[in-house]
Amino acid sequence: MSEPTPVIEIKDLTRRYGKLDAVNGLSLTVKPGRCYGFFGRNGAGKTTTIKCLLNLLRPTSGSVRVFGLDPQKDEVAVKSRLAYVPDAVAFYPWMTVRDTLDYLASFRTNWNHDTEADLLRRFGLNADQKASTLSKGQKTQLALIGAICPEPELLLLDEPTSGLDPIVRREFIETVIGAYQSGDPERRTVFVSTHLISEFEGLIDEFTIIEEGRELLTMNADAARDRFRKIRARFATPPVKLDLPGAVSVKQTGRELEILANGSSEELIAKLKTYQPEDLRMESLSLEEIFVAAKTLMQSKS
Amino acid sequence: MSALLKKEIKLLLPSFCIALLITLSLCLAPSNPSVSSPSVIVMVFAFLLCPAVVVMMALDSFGREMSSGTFSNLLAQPVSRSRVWWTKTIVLAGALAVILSAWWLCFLVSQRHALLTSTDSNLNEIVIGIVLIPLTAFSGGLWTVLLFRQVAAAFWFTVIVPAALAMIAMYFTEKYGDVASLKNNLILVLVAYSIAGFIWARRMFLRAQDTQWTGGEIAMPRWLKLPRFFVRSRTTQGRRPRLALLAKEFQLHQSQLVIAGVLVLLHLGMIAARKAGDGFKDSPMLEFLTGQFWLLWGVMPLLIGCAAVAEERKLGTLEAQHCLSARRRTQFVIKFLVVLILSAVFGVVVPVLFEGQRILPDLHFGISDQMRAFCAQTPHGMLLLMVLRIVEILSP
Repeated sequence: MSEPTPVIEIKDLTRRYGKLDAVNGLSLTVKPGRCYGFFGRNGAGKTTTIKCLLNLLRPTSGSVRVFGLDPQKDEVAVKSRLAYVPDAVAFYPWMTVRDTLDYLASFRTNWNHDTEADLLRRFGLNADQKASTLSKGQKTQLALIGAICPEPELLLLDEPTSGLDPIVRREFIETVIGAYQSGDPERRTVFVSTHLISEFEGLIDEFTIIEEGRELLTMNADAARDRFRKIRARFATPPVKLDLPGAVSVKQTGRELEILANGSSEELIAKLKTYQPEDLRMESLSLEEIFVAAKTLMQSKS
Repeated sequence: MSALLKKEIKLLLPSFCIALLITLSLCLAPSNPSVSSPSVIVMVFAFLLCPAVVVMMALDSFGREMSSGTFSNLLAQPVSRSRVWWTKTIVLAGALAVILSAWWLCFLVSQRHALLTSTDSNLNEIVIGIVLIPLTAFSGGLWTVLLFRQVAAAFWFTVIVPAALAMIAMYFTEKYGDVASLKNNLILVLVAYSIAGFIWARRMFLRAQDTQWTGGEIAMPRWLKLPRFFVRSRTTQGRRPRLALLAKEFQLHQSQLVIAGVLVLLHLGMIAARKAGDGFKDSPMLEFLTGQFWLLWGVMPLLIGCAAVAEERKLGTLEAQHCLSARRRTQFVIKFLVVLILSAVFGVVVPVLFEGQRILPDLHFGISDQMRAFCAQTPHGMLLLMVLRIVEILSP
C-alpha cells in the first residue's frame, strides 16, 4: 500500500528579508492525521514558515507542498482544504460576530452550523456583537470558530492560545482541538506553531523545533520522551568531578545531581551506580523540557 | 449578493458617501447668467475636488484593508485572487460611475446657462477632464497603494505621476509635434497610463505577499539621523521625557518628511524645467503646471495634521502614550507644536523660499547670514542650505 501524500512537505525552505534569513534551509514532513507541533523561540521563523505554506510569502529558495500541491500555483485548491488562524487576528470592524462567520462561511463548500452554535455557546460570544468591540482573546476565539466550522483537512494554528484566558485555553486545547481531530482521525491534521509547548503536551504526536530559521530537532513525541530523560541522584556527600559521558547537562545542587540524558540514560544510570548514590531516579521530560534540552545540546555542540 | 461583494461595498461606503456629498454640493455653486463659461467654483470642483475624492476612493479600496490588518486574512481565504481583484475593481468602478453621473447631474442643474451658451471646445475640455481625471485616479490609486502599501505616499504618486506624464506629453508635442494634436496626445498618454497602471496593479495584487517589497514602512534613511540634541533624551541619565516626546513626534511624521523630500526634488525639477523652457510662455498649460506646482505644498499641512493622531491609532500606540508618566496636556502641546512647525515649514516656508521671489517680487525672501551659519552646523541645516542654493541658481 502506497504511502499517503504528506499533508505538508517542506524541502530546504529559505526565506530572506533583506539580509536577514528568517528561515534558512528548513525541511519537514507532516503526515495526514497527525497533530504536529512546530516549536521555537520568538523570532525563530515559525510564522514565516506558515505564511510560505499559504502563499502569503514566497520562498526565496526551496520548495513547499501542501496536500502535494504548490500553494503558489494551486492556491484555491490548497486553501479550500485548510483553515488558518493567524497570530494577529483582524476582522472588519463593522461586522458582527454573526456577519463575520457568515462572511467566512461564504468561501467554504462545507460549514458545520451545529459546531458553530456549540462553540459560540462555549466561548460565550454574543453573535450580535461588533467585531470592533471584541477583546483580543474574543477575536482569537472568533477566528478559531471560523477555522473549525468548515471542518478542513488541515488546521494551521499560529499561536492559537494567545490572549485566551486559562479556562478557555484548556477547554480549547483539550476539547475543541481534540474533538476536531477525533472526528476524522485519519484525515484531519493539526499543525500548531507555539512557544507555549506545555499547553499542547497531551495532543502532539510529532514535532519540529526550529531555531534561527533552521531545524533543531524533529521527532515523534513518544520517542522523544523515551530518548530524553532526566536522572536525579542524591549522594551522601557532595560529589566531585563525576565522569558522566553522554550527559547533555549536569546540574549539581549540594548533594544532588540532575542530569539530562539524550538516548544514553541506561549507560548513565550504570555509571552513576558505581558512585553509590543514596537515591537514583529517572523521569521523562515534558516536551517543553525536551525543547530546552535540545537547545542546550545545540549550544554545547557549537 | 455574495458576502465578498457586500464586504467590498461596505468597505468603500464611507469614502463614497463623502465623495457624493462633495459632488452634490456642486448644486449650490452660483451660476452667473452673464458669463458664458462655467464658474470658477465649478472648475475647482471639476479639476481639484472631484479628482481628490476619486483618488481617496481608489486608495480606500485596498488601503483600508492594509491599514486595518485584514489584507492578510483576505489573501488567506480559499478564493481566487482574480475573483477578489475583479470584485474590488468592479465595485470601485461602479462607485466612480455613480459619482461621475451625480457630478454631471449637478452640473446640468447648477450651470445650465453656461451649458447653453458656452462654446463646444469649453464643454469638450470639461467632459474630457471629468472622464480622464477619474480614470487616471482610478488606476493610479490602485497601483500606488499596492506598491507603497501606505495611503499618504500613494496619494502623492497618484496625483504627481499622471501630471508629470501630461507635462512631458505637452512639452514634446509643442516642441516637436503638431500643436493642434496636443489634446489628442494628452488623451492618448493618460489613457495609456490608466490601462498600464490597471494592468500593473492587477499583476501586483495577484502576486501580493504579506510583506511589501520595501520590507516595512516608508521611513527616513538611517544616515539622516536626529541631531544629538534629541539623542541625549533617550538615555536614562538626565531623563528628559519632553525631549523624548518631541523626538518621537518628529519620527512619527517621517513618512511625511520622506514625501516632502521627494516633493522638494520635484519642485526643483519644475524650477529647472521652467528655466530650460524659458517659462513655457508658448504653452499656457505647461506654464500653469510648472508655475503653480507650489500649490501642492498646501496639501502637506492637511496630511501632517491627519497623521499626528491617525498614525498613532493605526500603530496602536495611542493608548500606550496615554499610560506614560507625562501629562496628556504636555503630550498634546508637543504634538500640536510639531504639527504647527511642520505645517508652517512645508505649507508656507518652503513654497515661499522656492517661489516667493517669483510670486511676490516686491518682497525680499531669503535667510540671513546668521541663520546660514547656524544651519551649517547640522546635516539637516546643510541639506537645507544646499537646496536653497540650487533654487537660487535655477531661478531666473
